[in-house]
Amino acid sequence: MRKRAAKFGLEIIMVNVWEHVDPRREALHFCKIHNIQGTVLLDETGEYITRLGIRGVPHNVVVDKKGIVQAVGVTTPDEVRTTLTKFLNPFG
Amino acid sequence: MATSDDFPTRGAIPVGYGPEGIAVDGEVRRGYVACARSDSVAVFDLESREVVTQVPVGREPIALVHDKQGGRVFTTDARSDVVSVIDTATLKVTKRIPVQHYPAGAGFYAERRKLYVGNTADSTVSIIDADRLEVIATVPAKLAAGSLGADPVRDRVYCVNFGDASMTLIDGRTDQPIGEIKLDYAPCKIAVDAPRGRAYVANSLVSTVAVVDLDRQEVVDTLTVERAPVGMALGREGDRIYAANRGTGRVSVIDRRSGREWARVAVGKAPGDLAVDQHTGTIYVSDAGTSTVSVFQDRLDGEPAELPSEWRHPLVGKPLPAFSLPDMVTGRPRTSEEFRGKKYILNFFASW
Repeated sequence: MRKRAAKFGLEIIMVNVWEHVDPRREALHFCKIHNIQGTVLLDETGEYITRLGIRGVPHNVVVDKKGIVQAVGVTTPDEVRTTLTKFLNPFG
Repeated sequence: MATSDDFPTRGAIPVGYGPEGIAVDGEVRRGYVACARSDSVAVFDLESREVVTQVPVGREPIALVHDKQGGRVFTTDARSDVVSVIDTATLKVTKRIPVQHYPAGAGFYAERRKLYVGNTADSTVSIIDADRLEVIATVPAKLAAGSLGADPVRDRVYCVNFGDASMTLIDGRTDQPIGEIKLDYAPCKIAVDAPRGRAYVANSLVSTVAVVDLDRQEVVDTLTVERAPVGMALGREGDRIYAANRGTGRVSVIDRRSGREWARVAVGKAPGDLAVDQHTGTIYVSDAGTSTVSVFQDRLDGEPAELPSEWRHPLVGKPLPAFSLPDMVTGRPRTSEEFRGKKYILNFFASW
């Protein structure tokens, strides 16, 4: 997914939230098990996700080149396909 | 649209960290919730809505089962590979039963006095005699076996396999796997309505609930709910189906007859499991993100004039608020400024 996205100049930044105890250790462990590579940030207190008004996980926030949010949510395979097709279409 | 009068809140009870499996005993007015990140079970009073005590168990308790007749609560302690047994009279752990790796799901077959535990890392089910407190069989299921539900009418137990889009049928008498039903992608929780021959399975990654006909052994309907349902419970003798949406912090209220989502009730963040007090109909939701148990009632009697619909998050079309967050590996802060001029996706996740 990350590599396919990179072809379109799209970066995926993962943000770990709400671990409550030992966030860094938990996130590292999780990424190792699931072979997740790339940028992973820690929103340890959940302060940032709360500022975005997001109340659950998983949750994706799609941001365009101008820093404008294009979509929020987007987690089911159908949603991902529809949203990214629109977002990444060079003629759109 | 359903209003807050239809679903009055009874507040939120602060419990331990990362609450997941939950059960309530309406008769003695007590609730139990497994706090996965506190390695404990929080015992709370349904009337005062306060925690009475925290009972330490193994590491990362996830599923929780209440055995009323035996006077016990069981937790599956995923990182300890054990089932902890709590005596509900003394509120002490009386036994730790070794099972296989990463037990993350459980179901109770009261009529046969057996506890079923899904060993997610081994794709097996441990079957425990609820009186002798011993493993009496270990049977194969499919990839990432987890949540289980008993069906005393057909004398079977169902185990949903998160990694295999299926559920395994286990014979209640012989403890042998006897078949399989294909499900949607990523089934993670099951609620069984044995008298009506239905099971409801939450498919978290595709945000649906599968309705399974237990006689025909197939999915007969697929209901769309909100984002990432991971908790399922039945209310009003099966006329209501509740799904806890981890992705949105709301509970979907589904009407059985029409098979439609009638309302969405806001609870705490990233809810996991839920339980219904069958005496009062009150719903208790474990909120893994906020480390609370949200309590609400369901007074909605008929179909609301307006059903829940897709809504646009207020952030869409607006600039992303700036962030500065530490990198998991280096610990150095990364900021939104660095990503200026780029297209990107922020993917929020939790390890649970």
